Amino acid sequence: MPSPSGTRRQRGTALLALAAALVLGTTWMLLSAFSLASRTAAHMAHNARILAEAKAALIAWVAANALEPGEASPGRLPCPQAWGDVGSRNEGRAAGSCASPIGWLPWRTLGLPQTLDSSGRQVWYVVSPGWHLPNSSATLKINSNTPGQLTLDGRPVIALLIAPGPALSNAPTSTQLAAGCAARVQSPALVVPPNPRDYLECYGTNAFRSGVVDNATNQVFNDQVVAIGAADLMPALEAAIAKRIERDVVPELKRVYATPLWGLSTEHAVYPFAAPFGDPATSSFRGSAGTLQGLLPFNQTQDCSGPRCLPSLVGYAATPADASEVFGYGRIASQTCVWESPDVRQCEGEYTESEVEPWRLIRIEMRATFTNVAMGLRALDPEKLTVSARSNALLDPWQPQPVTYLVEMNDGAVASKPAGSVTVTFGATLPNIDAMGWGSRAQFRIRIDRALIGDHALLDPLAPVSGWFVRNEWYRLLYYALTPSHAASAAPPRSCSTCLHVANLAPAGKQRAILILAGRSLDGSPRPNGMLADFVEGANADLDLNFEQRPVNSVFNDRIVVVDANP
Amino acid sequence: MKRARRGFTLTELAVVLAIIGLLLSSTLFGLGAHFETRNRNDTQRRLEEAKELLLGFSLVNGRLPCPGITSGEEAGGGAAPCMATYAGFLPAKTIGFQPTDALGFGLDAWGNRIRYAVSATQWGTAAARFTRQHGAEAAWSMSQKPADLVVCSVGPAVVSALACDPNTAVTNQDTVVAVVFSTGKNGPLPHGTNEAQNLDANPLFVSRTPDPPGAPGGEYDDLLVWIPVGVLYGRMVGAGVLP
Repeated sequence: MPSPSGTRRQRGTALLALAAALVLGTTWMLLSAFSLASRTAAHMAHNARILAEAKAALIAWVAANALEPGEASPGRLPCPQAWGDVGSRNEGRAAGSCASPIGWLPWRTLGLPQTLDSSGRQVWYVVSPGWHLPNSSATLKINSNTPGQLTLDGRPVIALLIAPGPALSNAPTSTQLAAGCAARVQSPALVVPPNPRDYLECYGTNAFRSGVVDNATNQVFNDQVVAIGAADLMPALEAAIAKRIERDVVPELKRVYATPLWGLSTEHAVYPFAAPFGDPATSSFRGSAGTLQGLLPFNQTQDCSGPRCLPSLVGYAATPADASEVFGYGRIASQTCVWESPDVRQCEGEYTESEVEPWRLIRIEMRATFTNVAMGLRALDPEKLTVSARSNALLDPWQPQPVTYLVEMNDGAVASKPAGSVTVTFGATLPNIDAMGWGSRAQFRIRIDRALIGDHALLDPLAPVSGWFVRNEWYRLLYYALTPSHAASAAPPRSCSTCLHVANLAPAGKQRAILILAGRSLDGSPRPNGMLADFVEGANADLDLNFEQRPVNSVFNDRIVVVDANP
Repeated sequence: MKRARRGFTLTELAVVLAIIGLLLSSTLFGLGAHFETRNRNDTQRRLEEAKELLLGFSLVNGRLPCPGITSGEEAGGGAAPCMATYAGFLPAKTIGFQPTDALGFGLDAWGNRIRYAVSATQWGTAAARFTRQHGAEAAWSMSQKPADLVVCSVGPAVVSALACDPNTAVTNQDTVVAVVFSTGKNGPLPHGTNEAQNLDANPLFVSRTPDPPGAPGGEYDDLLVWIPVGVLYGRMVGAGVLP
């Protein structure tokens, strides 16, 4: 039956077919897009996982290596893989020195399985200048203030781990060229050593990026990058350094003035005064009488230069008294005392025997007081005290005599002997004139050299055990505190029943002296600076005798190293 | 006027039924494979979780646990050596793994017990090992690596060999500190030489993609994960347990 209008009735089959085709097409597009997206997400997740594992293993390696007894540059990172090992059973080992600081991750050295990214290519590893050994004889200076010299998107980093992704060959657009991408058809072929430009995109000298402009429309960049910055590395490194200071520095530090040489003992030790806190980069590190916390008094007096060099810190408090005889047998007949040099005082003269008991021996002595000894780390060199004798026949050579001496650390109770000064009394028994066949008189010479009080071995950058501490300048990151009871200014015998108190550290209240490894600046303040609040945190910065050890986190990174404590 | 009632013809019904049947059968066929995949994925997930729990245990105790033998509690550990290092089960109860059976053993998606092997490498004083109290810390500070556990892609020609045949090593022998694995759907009895390697109480393990019955080396459907020593150390340093 024809319709009233005369047209044929439409059955709509074409419309249905069209709708079905549309639905199918959309579904297919959605599905393919979804699976592509999920595949990309899976690849990125895989890369993120292996990069995170590599990062953790790398940090663990740095901390473990920093603890190695012979490691001269604690904190250095391993080199990339040695290319010579590729394909051998040793593949994945770090090279001994980094001919190139950009290469493959040394997974075997880190204790990892071979790390391949989602495209089956090895993970790349870039390490900053100053943080790796460019050759086998190089030494580095790494401490909490050492910056990474690589950048990722402009921020300084110490090392980078990069999943390179498949080879790309798209030409960069002008904006991408301006952003630092270079046109390159990356070769997927494996050659050893590989050219990093066949794996990594859009990077410059020491400058890397995690993405590039317009990459969604014109993919010229497919690296997945994980950075290791100071905030990642320092907690582990500083923990290792604190251990190492405890092991390599503290045993010497606590005994500097705690030996019988100085007339002291470990029980009644004296610890040097602190240097007033100031910018550790420019401080003289000169200890100051009565200063009980601040910087470690790490000044030098010999063979030195720079702000820490204080050649005239230790000096004679007064001109030493002339030589005198003790025991009372025999006497000094005459003597002349002169300054041989500003450092050397010498008395020369004649001595005679006792007329009643000529077989008795005569002993002569001299005494000198040196200021500012406990204002630094000093060592005694008794060879600078000499006594010698000879017959009156002037051509005889001087015969050195065995010297004995006594050292006292002064507490300042007597004005002529200020706190932190030491008084040295030394002398020798002179040869019996009769026994030597020298006639009735003989000559003596007694001399003292200020170099008697020299620098402690801890200050020596070449010291085998502690040299790393000096070379890497970790002393610039230490805060030092001591109890007043064990300072030179305390009356002997020095001891403390209530000493420093360090919260969360046993035994409570028994620490005589402590070091605080201040660590890096937590708020990113430019270092070095002279701000105590940037240096130590919380109760450690309030200048009283109470300190604290807390778990290290983003607001507290002090590490207490105990120099000495009561048993 | 009575209009004729129009219905579906027999032919039309037959065509519809045939199409529905076809669809159903393909779905059911896929469903079996789907369940299989789901069980494998589920087991893989449980193994990864066990690995995380083992790493967590090491953060708290400074060492890895020993395998369980008669229950899901570790057998030995701390001051004592492990009662078995290569032939035990995941100490699920000790590390807090779920799900477990009545004895505290950890279970895979097929209800079989998850197995676990830990490095028995000793160094320094002979008693130092990764399962000793603070042993992992001591090992780390001495740059000690596990020297026994190794994963190969096929069982070596000599069954009792302790190293992979050339070109079959999946891991290095100085890398793996612990292995966690499931014996798969075919259960705890070995179905070929490759699966047998995982149950012969030595430190050599085989990890490969599944093989059907009759493949060279026999059926293989075990699932393995392992803990590289660098990951163990990395976690401990990251958590501030070391140094």
